Order: sequence, then C-alpha cells, then structure tokens
Amino acid sequence: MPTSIGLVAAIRGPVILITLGTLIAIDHAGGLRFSRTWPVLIIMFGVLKLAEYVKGGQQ
Amino acid sequence: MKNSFVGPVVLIGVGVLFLANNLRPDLSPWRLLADYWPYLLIIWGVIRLVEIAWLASRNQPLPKRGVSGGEWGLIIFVSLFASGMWLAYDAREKIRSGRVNLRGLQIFGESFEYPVSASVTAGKTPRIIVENRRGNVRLVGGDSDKVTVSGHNTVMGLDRTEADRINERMKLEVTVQGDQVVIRTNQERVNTDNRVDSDLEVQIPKGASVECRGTRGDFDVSHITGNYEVTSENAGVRGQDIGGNVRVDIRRSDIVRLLKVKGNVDVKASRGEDIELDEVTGQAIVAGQFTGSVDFRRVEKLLRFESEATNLSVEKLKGRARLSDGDLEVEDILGPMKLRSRSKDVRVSGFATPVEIDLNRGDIELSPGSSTLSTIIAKTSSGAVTMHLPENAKYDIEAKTRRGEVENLFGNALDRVEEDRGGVIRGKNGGPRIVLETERGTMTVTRGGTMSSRMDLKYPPAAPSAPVAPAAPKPPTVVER
Repeated sequence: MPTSIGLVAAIRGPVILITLGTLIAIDHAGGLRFSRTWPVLIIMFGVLKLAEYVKGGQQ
Repeated sequence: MKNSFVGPVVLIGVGVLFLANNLRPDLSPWRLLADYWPYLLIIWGVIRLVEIAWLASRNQPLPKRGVSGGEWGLIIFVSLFASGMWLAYDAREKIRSGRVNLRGLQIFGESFEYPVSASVTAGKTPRIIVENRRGNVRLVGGDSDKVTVSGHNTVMGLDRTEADRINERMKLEVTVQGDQVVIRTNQERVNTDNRVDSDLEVQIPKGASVECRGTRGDFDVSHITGNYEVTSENAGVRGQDIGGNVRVDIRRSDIVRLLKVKGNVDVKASRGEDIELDEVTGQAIVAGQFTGSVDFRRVEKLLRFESEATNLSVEKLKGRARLSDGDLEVEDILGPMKLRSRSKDVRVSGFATPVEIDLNRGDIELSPGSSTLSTIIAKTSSGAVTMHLPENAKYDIEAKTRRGEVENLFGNALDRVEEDRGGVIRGKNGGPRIVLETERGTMTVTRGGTMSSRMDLKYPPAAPSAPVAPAAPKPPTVVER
C-alpha cells in the first residue's frame, strides 16, 4: 500500500516537468518570458515539499 | 525506471514525426521539434503523472522519484538541443523577414537601378583600365575610336531616398590620361553595408588593351588586338579574338574561357571550376586547382598545366587535352609531352614525339598511331599499361610489370618472359627506346591501329561560340521579403 508521502514525492518530478514545459510554451507563444517566470519552478517545488510534510504530519 | 510508458510513447512519437514528414514533406521533423518541444516536456510530465496515478490506484509500490536522474539528464539534453534549433530557426526567420544584415550581404530592402552612361574619345590603341568592384563588365572592340560606356548600377536600399543617396556617391567616371582610359564605378565610396553592383557594356576601339580589376563579377572581352588582363577575387573570365597576351590572376572562378588568342595565355587561379582554351597561337600556362572540366584545344606553342596533383606539359597541341576528375586524355600532339600525376587514368593518342609519363596511380594507354616513334617512357606505380604498337614501327621496347600479367598481342616479333610474379615483353628492330613499367597491374602490348573505343572518338574542334551577352538589365523591382 503506497503512502500519501510516497505519492506526493513521486508526482513531484512530473509536476515540475509539466510546469517547466508550460512556462517555456508560454515564452514561445509570445507571453511572459521564461527569464521572468522561472521562480514559479521554485515555488512549485516548495509547495510540493510542503505537501509532503503536511501529509507526513497527518499520518 | 522500468516498465515505464515513456519509452514506447517516445518511439510512437518519433515514428509519427517521421511519417508526417514523409507524407507532408513541407513539415520538417526538426522544425516541429523546434516549435513544439515545450509541449513535449508537458506531455512527458503528464505521462509520468498518469503512470503514478495508475500505480497508486492499483495499490502497487510507487517509485521513489517520479522522474529519475537519468531522465532529467535526457530532458536537459532535449531542451538544450530543441531550444538551439528554435533559436536557429528564429534567426533564419529574422534574416528572411529582413531584420538582419549579415556582413554586407543585404537581405532586406529593395533593389533600385540607375542607368549610367559615358563616352570619351580615345586613340586608336588606348590602354583601358576598368575598376569595378562588383558586377559584370563586357568590353567589345569595334572600329570607332571612342570609348562608350552604358549600363546600370543596382543599389540595395531601404527606400528610394537611401538608394538615391548611395547612387549619388558612386558616380561613374571615365577619364582620359594620355592614351590611358580609366573606367571607374567608384563603389568604394559607398562605405555602408548596402550592396551595390555595376553592370557595364563598353564599346572600345579594337586596337585597345584592356586591364580589368574587380572583386566579384564577370569580365568578358572580345575583338581587340591588344592585351587582356584580369585581376579579381572572384570572377568568371571570358575572352574571344584577343590579338595580344592574356593574363588572368584570380582567386576563385566558375569559368575561364579563352578562344582565339594570338599571344600567350597565363592563368593563375587558386580555386577554379572550369577552364577552356581554344586556338591559342602562343603558349599557354595555367596554374591552379580546377575542380570542373579542364579542356585545352589547339595550343600552338607550349601548353603547361600545373595543379597540386598534376603537372602536364605538351608542345604543339594540335588536338585536344582534357582533364577531369580521374582521367586525362591527350590527342594529336606534334611536340614532346611530359606528365606527372598522382592519380589519373591517362590516354595519349596521335603522337610521334617523345612522351614521358610518371603516375603514382592510374592506367596508361598509349596509341601513337604513327609508325615513326620517339622515346617513350611511361611508368605507373599501380595500374595497367597498354601500348598499341604500330605494326611497321621501329622500336626497342621493354614493357615490364613487377606484379601482374603480361600479354603480348603484338606477335612473335616480341618475346614474352614471365619473371617472379610479373613479367616482361622485349623486342627491338633498331628503333627508339620504349620503356613501359608498372609496379602492379597488367602489361599489354598490342598491334597499333586498334584503338580502344574511346580513343576512336574524334573530337572535332568545337566551333567558337558566340560571345555571351551580359544579362539583360532587370527592371527596377521591389523585392518583398
């Protein structure tokens, strides 16, 4: 039985990857430049880490 | 990660990409990759998410990391590669749409044309100097003692005002100093990156001598009794009916074509493509690398050709000497011939004069086609040697191969001896010395007259072609980019 912590840790990589792809796609589409939006990646990483702790606390 | 969807999905994706390219050739897979790679990352992430959700729903153990270290490496590689492609396409797009100017190569703006003309009276035998940096110039000798210039300047500019200003600066000058006439297009005065070309058509007295200086553009001179000289970085050089000497000194060239030259010809080209000489009354000396066809016909005095790999000298070429990539054919010579080459298959026919051939590699085929012979020395390190010895010739022949077969098809007058791994054919009846040698290859001596099929081809001297007219002036065009 996989734990919630395991689940959150496992989706971290894919979520970061999707975020990265989205930011670059926005850049290419002529929206906000990646050079300005990259901190979103750090925020996502932080959020996911936080979720891990929260889940861990619940158990 | 084992049992991942990514591997098969990537395979399917690559297959679809190339199939799309095959069905719609206008869609380049690289172009698609350059444009859509961010979505590739998103899809990659989504696949991973789905995978994990699937595992979780079936209560199977989850991987510790959703995206493994190796995968991140691959992602970084793909991203760098694809964004590089994207930048490259983007740069090309910019160049196409005209937002970039690369090293004076004008890629934006419009081209404007301005007619130019001038006329001066020169003597009967003026010395004419043409200075035109870019563009084609054609000079034709005639009976008038006037020098008449007509043509046009082509200026690339953003708009007509800019082009006007540039054209204003490069005024055509035709000045007479004694018997010297200088035609100058003054392109040097334009110091911008704007591209300017001057194409001129010049009528000159037929007694004139012509000296052309340029950087890029063709020169074509015909019907003069004086000398013809060209110095350029990159030029096609044509000349016909030149009474004096011709001297060509160029770095690059797509063609050098000189027909009916009364004097000597001297051509130096670092990197040329084709060269053609016909009916040269004097001597012809050609030095340089020519990658296309090299064709010499009817050079009355010495013909010398020097390139990195081949060194040929022929005196009194009555017929033709042709060189291509791997072949050299010489027909009908009245004087001695000497050849040294790294790698060529050589055929020489129609000669009664001394011939000396030294090859590193290549076959040799000799057909004197005349019963009076002179000394022949032909050696190759690797290749077959065939001698078509005329039936009633006088000779003192020794034809030897160190490793290979010896074939005597001439008859009993010659002795054939096998030695070691090779052999030798010997025979003499009081004629000149003929030494044939190959280190490795077949040695054949046959009865003359039976020339190989290719040797039978007689090339009639090509008719002098009509002078090539310079390209018609283009109407001023607005180039949309």
